[in-house]
Amino acid sequence: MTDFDEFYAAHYADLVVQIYAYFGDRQEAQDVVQEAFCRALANWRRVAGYDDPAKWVRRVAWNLATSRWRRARTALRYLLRQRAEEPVVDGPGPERVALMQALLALPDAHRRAMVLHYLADLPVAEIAQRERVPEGTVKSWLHRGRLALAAHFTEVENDAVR
Amino acid sequence: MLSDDDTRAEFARMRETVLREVRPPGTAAAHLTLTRRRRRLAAASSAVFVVAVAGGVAFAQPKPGPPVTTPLVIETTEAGSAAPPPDTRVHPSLPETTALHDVTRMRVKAGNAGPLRFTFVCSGSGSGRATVKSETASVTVTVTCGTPPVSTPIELDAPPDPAWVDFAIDWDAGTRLTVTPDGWALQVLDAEGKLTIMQRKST
Repeated sequence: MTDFDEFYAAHYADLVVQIYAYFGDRQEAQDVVQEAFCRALANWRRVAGYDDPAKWVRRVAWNLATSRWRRARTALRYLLRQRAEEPVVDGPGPERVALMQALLALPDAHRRAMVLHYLADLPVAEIAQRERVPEGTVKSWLHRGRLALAAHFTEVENDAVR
Repeated sequence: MLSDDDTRAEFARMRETVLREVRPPGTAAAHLTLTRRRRRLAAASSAVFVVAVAGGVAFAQPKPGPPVTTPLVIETTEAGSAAPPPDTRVHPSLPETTALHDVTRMRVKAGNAGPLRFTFVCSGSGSGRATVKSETASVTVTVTCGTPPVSTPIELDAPPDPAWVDFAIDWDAGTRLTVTPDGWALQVLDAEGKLTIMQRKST
């Protein structure tokens, strides 16, 4: 097993979860993360020398996902060519649907902060640096994100009780 | 409001369920994708090369119709050697050093409208006056030969359409061309390719 294989095995799935949580499309998240890994492989000698190669891949995947509409057609062709058959899985449970709905209702910046902090485990300082805002702003985004999630869960619970 | 820990727990649950659904295409698929892309890139590069070569050939094609009246004239330093054929790009008998006199003429096709930029590259010693004419413009520059070869750029106003351009180089007495290790002595370059005016045929 090469360094790249180990790196891929260690980070692929987690990056998919993060991209999915932000963009709300798992299939597309898998696709952009795979593409990001392809690019890492093409430049592996350089990328492997970075302090945190996963950070590089996440950034590339994130950028790719951001321009997803432009790339949607290519992604579709890629999927049709690459995947012989899609595994059949159960649909998402109600908790996840609720969380995804709540996340997707958040403003972009708040959602990014939530995903990077709670899924990618980035500290507030790093998110602030990445978003080019003061740390206080990120804390405020996280606070509002938690409020919105709580409100959404309460609403869902109330609906369930009725 | 959800606490930080509650939120973390919600995301952890979500992560767990999503991870169960993720099917990594794998590194083999990544390698395959890269191989395909590299092949495609190589094919595209080859296509560009073919276009460039074709451009060079078009550049060198003489216009059908009246022949150029005074073709390339070379007098060899070797006594008794035959005069080279007119307008020949490859001279099998081109010696190491060739004395030039009279006028070297060429007619070439300019591939595109727009400012035409050519560069004469001459290996040897001496110089000559090169006149380049299109239907709409005429420019004269001094072409210098040297070792290593000397480049002389020339720019000509654009003819309205792709058109023929006439070159005439009136060599100074005593000008001599020297064949480079690559087997050529005089070239005209443009953006799309090169026309080797004097070249020893490789055997």
